[in-house]
Amino acid sequence: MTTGTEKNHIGAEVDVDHIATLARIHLTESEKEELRKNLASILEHFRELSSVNVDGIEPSAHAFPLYDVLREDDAAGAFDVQTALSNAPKQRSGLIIVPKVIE
Amino acid sequence: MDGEIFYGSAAELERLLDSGELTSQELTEAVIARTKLVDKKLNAFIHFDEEKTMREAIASDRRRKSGRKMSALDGIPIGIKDLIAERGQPMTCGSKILSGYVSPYDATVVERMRESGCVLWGRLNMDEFAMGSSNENSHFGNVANPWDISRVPGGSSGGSAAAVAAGEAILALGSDTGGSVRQPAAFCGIVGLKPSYGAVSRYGLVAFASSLDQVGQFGRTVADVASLFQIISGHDERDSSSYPFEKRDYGAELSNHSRVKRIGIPKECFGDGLDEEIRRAIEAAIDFYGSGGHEIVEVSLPTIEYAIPVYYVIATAEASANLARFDGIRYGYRSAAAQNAIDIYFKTRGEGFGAEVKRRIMLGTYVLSSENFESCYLRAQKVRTMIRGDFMRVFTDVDAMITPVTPSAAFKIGEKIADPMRMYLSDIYTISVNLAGACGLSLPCGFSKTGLPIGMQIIGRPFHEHEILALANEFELAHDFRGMHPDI
Repeated sequence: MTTGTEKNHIGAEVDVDHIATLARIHLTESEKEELRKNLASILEHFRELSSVNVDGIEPSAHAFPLYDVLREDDAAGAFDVQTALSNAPKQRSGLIIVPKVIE
Repeated sequence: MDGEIFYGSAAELERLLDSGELTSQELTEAVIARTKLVDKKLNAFIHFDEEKTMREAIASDRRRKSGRKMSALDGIPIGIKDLIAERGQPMTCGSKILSGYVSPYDATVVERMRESGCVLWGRLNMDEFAMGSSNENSHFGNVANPWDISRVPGGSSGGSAAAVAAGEAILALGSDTGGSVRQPAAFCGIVGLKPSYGAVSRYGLVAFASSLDQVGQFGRTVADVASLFQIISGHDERDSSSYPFEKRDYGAELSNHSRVKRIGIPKECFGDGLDEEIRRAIEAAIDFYGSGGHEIVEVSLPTIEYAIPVYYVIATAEASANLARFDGIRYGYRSAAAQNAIDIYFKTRGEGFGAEVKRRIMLGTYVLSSENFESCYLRAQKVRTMIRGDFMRVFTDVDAMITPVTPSAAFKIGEKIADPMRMYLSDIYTISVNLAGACGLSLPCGFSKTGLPIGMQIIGRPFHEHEILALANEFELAHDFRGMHPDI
């Protein structure tokens, strides 16, 4: 049973270009074509969920409730700069190098 | 010990190491030689560092000689799924996007294995970012099933399962988000444990779906899996989702199966779609428990019919957020074709991720987008509450449950890869255990007529690993599956 406030978009045509932009992924035309087909068929299965009556049910973010886990605010376990940068694709003088951001 | 040393159980090998009949150096050399012999066919390893591994073995022998043995697994070679960080070793997660990455730190589980003297052996192949049920989604090529190399080993921890089944490691670590330890364990005829959510630290485990991921263990015997779980489990303040539960002496409690009084059989797991040979093997196992003094009762988990859609909404949503960190800026691969800073994100991710990872990021982004958030994501989280509620209700009545692990035995390479939804359905019996946060174990319980292993799943209450391990041990001791090895 779908509640009145919820719109049911599941299974509707997927705007692959829009989603790829949100996800920051460049896709080729053939990848887009493939995704249009199989996302639609997968979302069709997700549609089953709209038949479940979830009135009054709280959502679970985890398998069991664990909230606000804090530790003492002590500095611990930090890498030195060289270790932290050791996997950067481009680096110089202790900095990560990227193309110019501001023209 | 009878037979080949690389097929020894950790418990037998410990006795030989203690008595001086065997050294860790000899054992590790045997495992490495075995790997070099069979991995051309299996492709279970992405990388191994022979010299480093031998140094650890020799150090273990030295410790033992001077009476400083650190644990039952001191000197035992253990493989590691390639998404768990080991300092100084490459970590690819089966992906091109992490090519060249070398871990600058140890995962907590690896640190605990080091402190226990384990020999950290080799980085095991996997579906890219643990997304898959067949190990066909690895950038480093698919893994073959040692029982029939034309078949898949299961996934996503296919390399871990194949390696242990073929004697390329004594034990291995994997990870299980929806069945990625239990399903490959079943396909490869070995034991696989998916601990309760929160039982094992995920610090240093590359995240796929954070509300579901757990580090799991593979071994050829239940006792070996219990030994490794003993070492790596327990609270870790570096993982805020790890839970301060009461740890047991899992080895000592293995014989304590009589404490499990009532075993539930969820009727929904024995309906249409289950292979007949698997049904018969599981029913025979249930009869074994019934005649062994356990009370067998039929139970019902009505909401698990929604487990697959709930899982794929939640897991893809979490994955799309977790994998946003792979942007070509701070580590791993960066596209050479990028024209400007934003283009780095698009092109690096477009070139660096494989087809299944892109599909799941796209799905996750879709279900989290503002127009679908309520109808997809929030709704799936609510149905998840209901699934967990079903499990907890059943666990007030029974101490454990038995189900199949998979609807069929290992399928052919290429059989399901073109149809993602069919592939997703192969996790139908394992997924709900992750959603509920319970523990689950896959145990060999038979063979198909064509010689493929069949597994059964034993599900326990959260943090009651000692009970499912004891039940599994009871079955294992009465059957001879642990002595059977693939002809590879």
